[in-house]
Amino acid sequence: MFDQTSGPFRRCARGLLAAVALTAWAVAAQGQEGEGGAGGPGLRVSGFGTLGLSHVQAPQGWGFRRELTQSASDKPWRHDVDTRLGVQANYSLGSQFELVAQVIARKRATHAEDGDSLEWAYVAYRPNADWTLRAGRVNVDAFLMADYRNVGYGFTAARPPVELYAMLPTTLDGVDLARSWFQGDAQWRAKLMVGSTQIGDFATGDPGRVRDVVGAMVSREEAGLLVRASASRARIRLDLGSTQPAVDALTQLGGLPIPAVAAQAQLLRDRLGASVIPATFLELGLRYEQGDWQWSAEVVRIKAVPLVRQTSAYATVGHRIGEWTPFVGYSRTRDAMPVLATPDWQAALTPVIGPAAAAQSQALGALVTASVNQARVQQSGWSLGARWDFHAQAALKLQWDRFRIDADGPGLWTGANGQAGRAHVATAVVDFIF
Amino acid sequence: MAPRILLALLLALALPARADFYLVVHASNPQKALTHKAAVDLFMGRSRAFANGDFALIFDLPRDNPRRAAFYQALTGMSVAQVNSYWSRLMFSGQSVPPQALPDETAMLGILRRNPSALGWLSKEPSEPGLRTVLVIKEPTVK
Repeated sequence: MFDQTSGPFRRCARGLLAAVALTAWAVAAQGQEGEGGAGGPGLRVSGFGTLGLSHVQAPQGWGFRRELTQSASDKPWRHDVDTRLGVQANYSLGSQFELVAQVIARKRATHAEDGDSLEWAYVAYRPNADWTLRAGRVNVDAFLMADYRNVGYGFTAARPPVELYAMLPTTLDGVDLARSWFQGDAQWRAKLMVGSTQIGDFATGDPGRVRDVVGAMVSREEAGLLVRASASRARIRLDLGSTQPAVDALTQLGGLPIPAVAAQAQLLRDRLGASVIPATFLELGLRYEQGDWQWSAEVVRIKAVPLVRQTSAYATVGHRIGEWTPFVGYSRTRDAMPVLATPDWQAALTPVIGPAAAAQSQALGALVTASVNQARVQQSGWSLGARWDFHAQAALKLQWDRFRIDADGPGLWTGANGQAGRAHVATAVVDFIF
Repeated sequence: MAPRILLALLLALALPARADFYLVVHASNPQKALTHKAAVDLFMGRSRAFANGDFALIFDLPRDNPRRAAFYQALTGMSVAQVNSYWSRLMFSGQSVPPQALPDETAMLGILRRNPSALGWLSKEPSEPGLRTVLVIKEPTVK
C-alpha cells in the first residue's frame, strides 16, 4: 500500500537506467566498429519515445490506463499514460545471426516485475533468406499492432485502441519460427511460437503466468493490403494467495444443504478459485494503405472460462493531407461471461449457522461478487484526432477519446465502482525515433 | 494547337533533365536486372535475397542526402515520414532492419566495388566496368 508511489517510480527509474546503460554500451561498441554491416559484424542502435500529456475527465476516483500493467492514478492531468522511452540494439554477426535487445522505460504498476522493462532479448538465426528462428524474449505475434504498440511513431493514433490492446500480453519468453515467401505479387508470412508470458491487472495483483503458449500466425500482404490471422492456446496460472481463505469459506457454503445458497456459493468458488485456466486467443486483422487512405480493423476473441469470454474489435480510418493525417476510430469490447447476481443468503443461512456467521457469509458473498463483476471489461470508445508529421523523425498527435463504460464492466479503469460511466480523454503526444 | 505543344516540348527540353536513380550491384553478381517490384521488396525489407536466393546486403545514402527523399518517393510513392514510420514498425518489432546508410555516393561506390552481395543506389549512372546497373528508376514529373 505504502509502496504505491515509490514502487512504480523505482521501476521506471530502473528501466531508464537500463536504457541509458544499453545506449552507452552500444555507443562505446559502435565506436570500435569500422564500416559495420558490410557483411561482417555490425551494431545498430536506435530508439523511440513518446512524450504525452492527457486530460482525463471520468467519474470520481476512476483512473485511466492504456494497459493493465500501468499503475492507478485518478488525477485529471496525466503524463504517465503514454510517455515512454525505448532503446534497441541490433548486433548482426554476418547475415545469418543477429542479437537484439530492447529496453523500455515507462511508469509501471506496483505488481510489475523488474525484468519487465526488458522488452525483447533474443538471438535470431536465418539459415537462408526465407526462414527465421528466434529464441529468448520475443514478441507475441498474435495481434496486428502487438509488435510495435510502444512505438507511437509507427502508427497514426496516439495509442493502440485500449478496448483491444489493454488486456493483451506483449512479450513471449520462448522460441518462434517464421517463414516468408512470395506467391505472385503477394508476400506471405507464417510463424509458429511456443513459450510463456504473463497477463493480468498489475495494479491490483500479481501477474498471472501464461504457460504452454502454442500459437500460429499467417499473414498475406499485397498492394498495400495486409490480412492476418492467428490462433494461440495457453494455460493461465493464477496464484490464489490471499484469496485462499475466501475460496475455502465458499467451498464450505457450497456443501450446505440449502440449494439456493449452495449453488451460488459453488459458482463463486469456481470463479474465484480458478487457478489453472485453459485459454485460447483468436485474431483476425487487416490493414489497408492505398494512396492517402489508411484503414485498419481487427477482431480478437479471448476465451479463458471462467475468467473471461472476451470479444474485442476496432476499426480506424485516416486520410493523409500533406503533413496532416486526421483519423477517426471506434472500438468496443464485450465479456460474454455473465454478470454475477449479488447473493441474498442471510435469511436462509441464519437458522442453519447462526446470525453472526450468516452475516459474515453474506458479506463475503457480496464482496466476491462485486470484485468479480468489477473486473469485467465491457466498454466502447470513439477516437477522433490528427497526426502531424512536422519532422522526418517526429510527429505530433492530438486525440480526443470518448468512452462509454457499461455497468459491471469497468475492468480497464482503476478505482472504478460497478456503475456505468462515461469518460473523456484529451491527449497530446510527440512521438519520435532516433 | 501544334505550335503550343512544340513550345511545351522545347521548354521541357530546356529545363534541367530530371535525374534518374540507378540501382547498382557488383559486376560478378548473377542478378542481371531487377524489376521495380523486386527493388521495392529489397529496399523495404520484404525480401532479403536476390533471385538466386543469396542474401542481399542493401545500402542507402544518409538521411540528410538531398536526393534520398526523391529516391524513396520514386521507388515507393511514399514520403520520407511515411517510409520512416513504416520502418519503425518493422525495426522495433525485430522483423527487419532498414538498409544501412553510407556517408555518401563515394562510399557507396566503394562498397559496391568490393562486395558482390551489395545492392545500392546512386544518382548518377556509374561508368566503371566493375559495376552493373540492374534498374533505372525515373523520377516522376512533379505534380
